[in-house]
Amino acid sequence: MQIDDDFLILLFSDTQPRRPKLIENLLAGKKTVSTLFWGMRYELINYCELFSNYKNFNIINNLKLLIDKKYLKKTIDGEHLLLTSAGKEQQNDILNNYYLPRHSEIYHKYNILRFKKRFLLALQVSSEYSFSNKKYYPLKMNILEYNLIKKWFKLNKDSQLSTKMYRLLYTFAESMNDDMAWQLMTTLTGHAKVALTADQQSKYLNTTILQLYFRQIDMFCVLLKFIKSSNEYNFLEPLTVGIRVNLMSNASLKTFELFLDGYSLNETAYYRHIKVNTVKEHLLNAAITLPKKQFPYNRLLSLKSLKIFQQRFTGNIDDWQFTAVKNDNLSFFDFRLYQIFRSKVDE
Amino acid sequence: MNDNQAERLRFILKKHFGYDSFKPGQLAVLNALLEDKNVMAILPTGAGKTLIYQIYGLIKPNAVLIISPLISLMQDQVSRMQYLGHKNVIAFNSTLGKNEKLFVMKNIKKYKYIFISPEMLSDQYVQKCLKKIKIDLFVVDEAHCISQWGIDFRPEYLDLSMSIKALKVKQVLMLTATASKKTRKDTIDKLSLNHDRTEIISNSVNRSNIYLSVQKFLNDTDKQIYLLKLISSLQGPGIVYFSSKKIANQMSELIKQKTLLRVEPYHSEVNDDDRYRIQHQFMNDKIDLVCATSAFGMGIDKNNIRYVIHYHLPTTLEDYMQEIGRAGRDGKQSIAFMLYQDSDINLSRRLALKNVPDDDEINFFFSNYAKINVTKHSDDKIKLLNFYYSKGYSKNYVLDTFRNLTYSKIESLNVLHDYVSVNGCLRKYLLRHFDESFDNHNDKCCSMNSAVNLKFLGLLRKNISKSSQNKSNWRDIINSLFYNVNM
Repeated sequence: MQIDDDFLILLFSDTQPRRPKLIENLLAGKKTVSTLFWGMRYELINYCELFSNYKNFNIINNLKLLIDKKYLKKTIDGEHLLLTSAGKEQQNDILNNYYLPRHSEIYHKYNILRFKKRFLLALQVSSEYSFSNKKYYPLKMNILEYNLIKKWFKLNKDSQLSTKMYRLLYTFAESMNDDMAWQLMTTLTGHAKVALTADQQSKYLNTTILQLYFRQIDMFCVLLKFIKSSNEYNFLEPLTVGIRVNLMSNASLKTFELFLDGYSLNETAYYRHIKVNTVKEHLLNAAITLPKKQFPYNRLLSLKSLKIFQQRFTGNIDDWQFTAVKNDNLSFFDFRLYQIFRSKVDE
Repeated sequence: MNDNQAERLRFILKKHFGYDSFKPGQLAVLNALLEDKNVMAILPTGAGKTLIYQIYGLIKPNAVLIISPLISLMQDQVSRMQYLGHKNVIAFNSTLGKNEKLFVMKNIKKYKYIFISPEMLSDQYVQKCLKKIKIDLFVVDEAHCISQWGIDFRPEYLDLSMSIKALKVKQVLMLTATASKKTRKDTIDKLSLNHDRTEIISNSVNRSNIYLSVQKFLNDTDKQIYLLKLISSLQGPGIVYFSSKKIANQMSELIKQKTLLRVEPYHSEVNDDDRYRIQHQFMNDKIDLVCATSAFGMGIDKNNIRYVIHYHLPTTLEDYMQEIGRAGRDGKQSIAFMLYQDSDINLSRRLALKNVPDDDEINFFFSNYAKINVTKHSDDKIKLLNFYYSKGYSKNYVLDTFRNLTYSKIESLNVLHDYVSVNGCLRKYLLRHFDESFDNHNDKCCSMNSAVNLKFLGLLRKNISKSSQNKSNWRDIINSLFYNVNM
């Protein structure tokens, strides 16, 4: 996918130096502790995994062009980028007109792309059924997903299906602006009607493919919520089965749940068949991705260590160095967890 | 064939497919299969090869296994069969995820038609699974690929003969649109089939309703200008083939800018969703032409394609026949253009030999095998050499194989080069390559490097309007999706 310069400019700051590779990893959904931690610090964590479906996702080359255009500059260490004043000006101009995904709370909770595929096939099947047509090319899809829709259709094919689908679509489309509604309708394939490609849509709407992609993600996030919000639409509930996801990885979630049950770090490692260090990484992931109240910081940071940290560290959390507490018998894990704790305090 | 049998086959044809009569060749192939023979069917594109094994599957109780060389083709074929109402069809290839693969293996007995890639067939777990079912027919689709691509791109094709033995296959059906005598023999040999028990049924590859034209250019700019002018005056729909994805994209953009035609690019880098959309927009006549690489069109069933233009040379004359054969399946007048400039042959040579290891590379591989981490290597040549090495082939054998391959690839290009330089009837040259004679040249046959009278051929575009490209109202779209429904 062609990545817009405008979007890239929005990912940088004129005051906080940011690592381009880290932002790339965050967008691609490579969820290491360091990626998630800095994603949180950069306040970009909402955009995590936006491009996890794209192989070889790369922004580095585009960024080089933005450096050439003098919108971005390298910091002295050569590893971070800052917006120049021209870049900042550009960012201010873009900010109000650029559509950024707004529903990360749903996107990070459900596999929206999977839901989208299911919905599109369910819609196609319903549309053809409405015309009593059995001869058509179904949208291409994973066999297991295909079977799920087949089962759904068997349960729901009755004289009311078309009306129910029509109502849902109509009510939903009316809740959006005309362009968004048009984009949704031209994403649908049905009887004697083939969806438009993203490129075709972008030409009609005079916008970029990336902008359409962001709108589409949001559209299906809201549609999912919409379906879940009313009994009238519960005939589509089966389409939302088995698509729950977590921002933290499944492995981290398993570790975190054991730890929450009261097991120590060593016990958790034993039961999970993993190293203690891995347990620590998983817990850091959990701390980053969960609201402050949901993580038991007090079980991991003693009052004594909190006191030391408080004495040693003030000011910008980004600038803290572990070396400042190295001789205080505190580990890097403690240090990182305290950084997370304080980041959340500052929220 | 006795009358009863023919009658029964016609009944099935009418009942399941709605046709009144068979196309030439179909009945002969079915008959030979019903006599328990292996069959190599050489029928031109559009002759309805797929229907043969579909019908045979309806007669026989057990599974039909179809080996298909290209994933895109396979998926198109499966969609097509699903479209025709066959529910128990599966494409078994590398696009399946781990869970899907397990699901298919667990449910293998439920499938009647199993399309499978040669790679997947070589997998020992898959073979073990396939041994659980009985196979009535082993179909090798695009069978010319065994001889043509078997050695370099698809080394797994070499294993097909072993699979035939391992799966205790009773009968083999080889399907192709084009195969010279040399290719036919080579294909049967590579599958270790008994020549005496194998019947070759071939119809003429000639497609007399496709006018042939070669146009020559001195440079790229002239070629581009000609193409733009040509497609603006040609009756569509049509396909323009390129050997480079990048140029297919660029030309598609250029056509959008310079003409009123509705055009889209189609190649392996277009994502799955858009590929479905472009293919079906094209089938529904919502697109006038597609700028494609050879991946496009193998499985599509569109009868009214009026022209096929080659902007670059195809790989072989066999491929050329396949690709132009997508035009005029409805039997109406159509046309094939080959646009050629001298530098094209170099581009084709580079592409053809890109994945063929040379002597130095083979020697290096065999002397340094221990030091090369093959599993981590993404280099296609290394993978290819490893295939031979791991099967115990000697260095000399491999050297010989690839020297022969290089030679035959260059030879294929020479044949193409001769085609674009023919002094006389193009069709005569083309058919001679497939061991057919031809002496019926007329005004609707071919021309070399001269203006084509499109009006005479009935292929002059009547009108172009962009009216259908206006942005529609979303309420109209939603209303069109459902029959007789409102709020």
